[in-house]
Amino acid sequence: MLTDEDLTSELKLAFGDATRDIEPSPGLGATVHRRHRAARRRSTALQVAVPVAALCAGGVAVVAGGSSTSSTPAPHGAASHLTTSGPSGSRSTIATVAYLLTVPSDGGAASFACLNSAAVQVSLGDETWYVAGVHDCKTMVIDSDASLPADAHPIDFPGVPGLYGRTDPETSSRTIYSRNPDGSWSGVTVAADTSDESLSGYYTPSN
Amino acid sequence: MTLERLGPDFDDFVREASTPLLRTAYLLTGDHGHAEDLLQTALLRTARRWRTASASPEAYARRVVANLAKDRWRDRSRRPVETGKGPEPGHDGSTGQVTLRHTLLPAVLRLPTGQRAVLVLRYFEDLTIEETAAVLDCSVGTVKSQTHRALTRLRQLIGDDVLPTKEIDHAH
Repeated sequence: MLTDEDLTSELKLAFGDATRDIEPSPGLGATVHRRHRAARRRSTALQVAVPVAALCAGGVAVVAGGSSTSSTPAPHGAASHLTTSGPSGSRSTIATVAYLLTVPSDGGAASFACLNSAAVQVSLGDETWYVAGVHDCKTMVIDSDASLPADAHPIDFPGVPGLYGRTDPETSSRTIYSRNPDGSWSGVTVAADTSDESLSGYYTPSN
Repeated sequence: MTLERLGPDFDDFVREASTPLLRTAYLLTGDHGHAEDLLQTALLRTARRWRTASASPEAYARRVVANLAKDRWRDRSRRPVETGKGPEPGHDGSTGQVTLRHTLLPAVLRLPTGQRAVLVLRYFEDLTIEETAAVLDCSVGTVKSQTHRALTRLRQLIGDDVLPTKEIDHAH
């Protein structure tokens, strides 16, 4: 019968053996720097973009009961609130919700984990996970480290508040932006004609 | 959130910590490719929070690696089990006998996520019970019980027909 001491000694040897030849790729440091620089650029752009987005959001706010309604720019990385008032005077507050992205994957295909997403991997770029369904031939791009662009606008998926969207006529695609649990943003890019209904199923509130 | 420009201290951290973190990620995932992905994401998140993480960057990054590995396990549990992944059981080249050491790793990869994590952190990273609890964001009691269950389960998985390496060495 093996003692705990025997077993843990062997475990240490086994772990050492198994990892002896495991080394990071030589370009790891440079890759991390490049991705961090790209994130910094997006972050800087966002600081300019958010007030513009806030102005757009403010455009739909209606003054109710003679009192003014203000819209505060949402700081990047912090939960924000968009307050709107309807013409009837009723008032509702929509909190920005963080989501776990769950992209349906095909059971017969090779699959992988992309942060909080489960999907079918096609290829991995520097900053983007490319995924595709199999039977429905749907192709999508998930950027789990996205920034909210200036021209993204709030969109209303049934039961999925707090999302933003942007359509790119040049590529006939649309990108849906959702906040990650850590405060960053994810962007899911799909064909422009993809229905809201099929997309809303990907989002699970995490808070 | 304003992202800071990274200085030489971050480069030093990447140079020193990448190899141990990658090896931990490999033992947690059983797959070199996934381990590389986890490491890169962990380094990026550490870079993003460098102002606070720089006090103990390796601990911060290790915690990110453990959390990412947990997420991956959770995702995998919803899908069919992948085959052909992870280190294969081996034989002792000189004796032809299956050594405990070579049987252990595949058995570790079959343990539930929490049990595997405590074994890797305690017996590969050499973390204390308290440090392991901090990384996994659980209580000291949970680490102790998970360790006990993991060792018990390992004994069941490897069976009685393998010998500790030291006993094989003595026999030859």
